[in-house]
Amino acid sequence: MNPAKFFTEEEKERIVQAIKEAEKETSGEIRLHIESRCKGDPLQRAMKVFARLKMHKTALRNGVIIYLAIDDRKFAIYGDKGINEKVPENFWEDVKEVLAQHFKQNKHVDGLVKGIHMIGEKLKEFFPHQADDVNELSDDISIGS
Amino acid sequence: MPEKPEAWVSDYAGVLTAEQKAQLNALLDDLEKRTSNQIFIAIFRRLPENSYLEDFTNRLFEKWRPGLPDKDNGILITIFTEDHKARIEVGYGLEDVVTDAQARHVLYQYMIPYFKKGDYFSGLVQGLKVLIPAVEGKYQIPVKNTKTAKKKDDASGWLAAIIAFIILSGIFRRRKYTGIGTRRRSTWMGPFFFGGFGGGGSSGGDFGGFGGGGFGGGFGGLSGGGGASGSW
Repeated sequence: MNPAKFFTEEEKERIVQAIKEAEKETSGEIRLHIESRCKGDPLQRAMKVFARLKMHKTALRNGVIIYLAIDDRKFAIYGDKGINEKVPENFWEDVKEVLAQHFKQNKHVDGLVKGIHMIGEKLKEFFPHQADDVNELSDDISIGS
Repeated sequence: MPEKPEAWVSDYAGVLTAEQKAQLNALLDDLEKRTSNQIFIAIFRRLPENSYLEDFTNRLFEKWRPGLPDKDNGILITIFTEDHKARIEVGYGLEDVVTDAQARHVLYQYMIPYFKKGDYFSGLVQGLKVLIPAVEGKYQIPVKNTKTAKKKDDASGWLAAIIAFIILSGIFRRRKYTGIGTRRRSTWMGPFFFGGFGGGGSSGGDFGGFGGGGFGGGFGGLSGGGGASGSW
């Protein structure tokens, strides 16, 4: 299906709000990317999209991408070096579990909001907001084909 | 999305003659035999419905996977003749010898001026003339927009050189070329658009229609990150 239509406008707004909230107290950045298909490993694909969206271009390498392939029902989370080396070992698995559980029950938005919140908490912990922080990456949801 | 082809050059739009394809294929064959680097060229008329240039090219790259599997030392050049779009997608393995800024430079400086005239062959020849030495680490693509006499290069002169090159030289006699660029796990990405095919503008001009922001040089690689994936 058309990934742009997977979420309603309201749902998209909820997600973007969650991202804004999560980013409020941190210099870290979170983005969601949605596309329809993912033939191979979604984490590899997430890394490629991460690069394509230039999410590595944060000062502290603390960008995180949440990737969804809605027709193939695959997803991934990928955090850049700066955040990855700070979070506990199982952190990404934990986030993945939360997303998977919600997604299985068709509660995609709830799952995303929760996952974004979890990531935001860690970002806040390790990358507290500086006075001169700017939004380095767009908060918009990235839509693939 | 087409299956990975046997030949380097796939012309789904029918803009190249058989001889032009043969010449390009020979050039890229030679590159691969000497260095194992692979450059694929795919020419389409239009992007599929609801597709975006970057995403489509990226996925085609992933389907065809130019280069050796463990090295990603490949490049995919896509052209959409009716959409007036083109892209150079560089694999991880070549990202440090062809950065996004450099690829953009090649596209704009050497290729698009010819594409605008409908001369896809010359555009590809000019682009490869720079890309091939670059991927071999022999030549560093300048990223300043020099607006020099490059575009005055005579395509047919270069053509004669290719033919001579192919006829006269053996495949394994390239002493000048050194090894392949070092491997880096990074991807270059960037949109490439060029304006419509209006009547020939001056060769030194910039191309309208490109509204994108600047692209830095290659980045520090995706090493160090982490993540998890799942399905539902």
